[in-house]
Amino acid sequence: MDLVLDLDGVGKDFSAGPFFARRRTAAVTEVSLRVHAGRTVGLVGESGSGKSTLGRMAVGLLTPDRGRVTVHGQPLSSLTPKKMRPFRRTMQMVFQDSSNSLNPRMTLEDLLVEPFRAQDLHTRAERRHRAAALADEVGLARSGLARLPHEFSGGQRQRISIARALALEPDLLVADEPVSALDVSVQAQILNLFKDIQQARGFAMLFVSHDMAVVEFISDQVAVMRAGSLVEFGSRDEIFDSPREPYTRTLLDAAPSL
Amino acid sequence: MHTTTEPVLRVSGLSARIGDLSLVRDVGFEVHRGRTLAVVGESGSGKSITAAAVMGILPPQIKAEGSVFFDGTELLGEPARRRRARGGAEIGYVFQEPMSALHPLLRIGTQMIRPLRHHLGLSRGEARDRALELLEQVGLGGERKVLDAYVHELSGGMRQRVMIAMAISCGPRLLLADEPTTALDPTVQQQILRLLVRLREELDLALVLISHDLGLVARYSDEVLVMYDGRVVEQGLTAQIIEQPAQPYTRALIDAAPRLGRRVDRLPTIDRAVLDQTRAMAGGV
Repeated sequence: MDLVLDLDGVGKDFSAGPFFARRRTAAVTEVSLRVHAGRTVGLVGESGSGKSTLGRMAVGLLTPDRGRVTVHGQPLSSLTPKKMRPFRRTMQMVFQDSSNSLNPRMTLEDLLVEPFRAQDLHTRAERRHRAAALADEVGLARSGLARLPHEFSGGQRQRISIARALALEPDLLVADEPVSALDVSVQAQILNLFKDIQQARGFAMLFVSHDMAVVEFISDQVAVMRAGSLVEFGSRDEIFDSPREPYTRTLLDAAPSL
Repeated sequence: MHTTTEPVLRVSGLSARIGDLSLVRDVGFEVHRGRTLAVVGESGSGKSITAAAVMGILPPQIKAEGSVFFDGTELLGEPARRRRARGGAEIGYVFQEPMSALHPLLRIGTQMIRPLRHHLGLSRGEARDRALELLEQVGLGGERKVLDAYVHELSGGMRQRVMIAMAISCGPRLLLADEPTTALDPTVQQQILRLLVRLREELDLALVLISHDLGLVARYSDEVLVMYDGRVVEQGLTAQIIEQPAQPYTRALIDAAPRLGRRVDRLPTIDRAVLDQTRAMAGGV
């Protein structure tokens, strides 16, 4: 299988505290993790576990203080800003709060065309054509192409974010709590959409969530983080049927699933 | 079952509207001492409007009709002054976001002591002792410093414990918790819900739990009220409804949630037809 994301001993520190007594704390100590093409690794942990920090390092939004992030054989640290820009096509991210990541004054069509414009790809006509195709792919009606973000529901806005992330055909998608703010019925639709699109396109996905049941549904493999460290990693069945770490068991036990 | 005793809270024929737009229609339920009723629904179902009507904190442009009967008194239409005296003392409230429900510039102690002095007429010293007792009751006993802390210095779980301590401080008979754990980590969420259930038993309270989370409702409530589009779809004993929902909407809502141990390839989504049918059945258009 094709290795897409290779995190090798990756760590990140943040400073905290008053100015003269500033302390450095490790948000992520040293984590190694691999994600292959067509596969989903679910990353679970509670707030402060470092799961979002790790996700951001994986797509180059944060630079690690330790270790190495390699995407498709390309170490991100060796990319100059000039080379990074075109390389960003290969890795995309979907956030929890889609309404904050969409420009409120852009129509759906503008929003879907923007990724191509940013990368200077295709002719104008071709961009519009692709925008319409993306709308179809994520289940948004073409009749809504002229609408503004606030005219869409939360679930539809998350579809827009997914479409934007997919526009440049990334090899790696990092989704950070993409369904946490959604109602159960909408969450089911969006989770199905993630599965369908991944099956169709075959990208590698790192799916960050605090919800054990969601992670069980979406993942092939699962990584459990606590206080900046990876405490357990295994196939979905291993983690959910016979977790080795007591902490994983605690998380499973606390999950208010039916 | 406590059907022989008087309910602490009886809501009947409750409707709320903004102008011509109906938000909640003909909602009714009862809660008894020592029992937990969960009100569950997705956004727009009317569960929070229902809660706000019971709490008497509906925005002025929303007009409510019907009856909210609490411990022998009709609350709906009660003068604001009387209502304020009751709110916080006889009915305790726990909100989703303690960060915004607590005052950012006042120490926790100050905020806890005020209602104790106002409602119970305690002296400053007595109120402080009572506040410490209350913190002990919600599991912050070893944390003397909490009284002198500001909200932002506490963790999410501690803030919610403080909220709960304040909600029970004046001996309420009814505790209303509106999404009390939605913003919390699962392990903390579990602790807070166990705390609420324990307090309900110890203090013999009636607990109303508003939530969007069926899994949580299944675990922590005795009775449940399922709402959709401002109306009650189904109500009854939680175990029974989760096990064998009578309404297709409830069934669909249960199935749509990812469930531990159920490894399906796709999640069933809620049919348009089920939604239309549910709306029609509940007497809507």
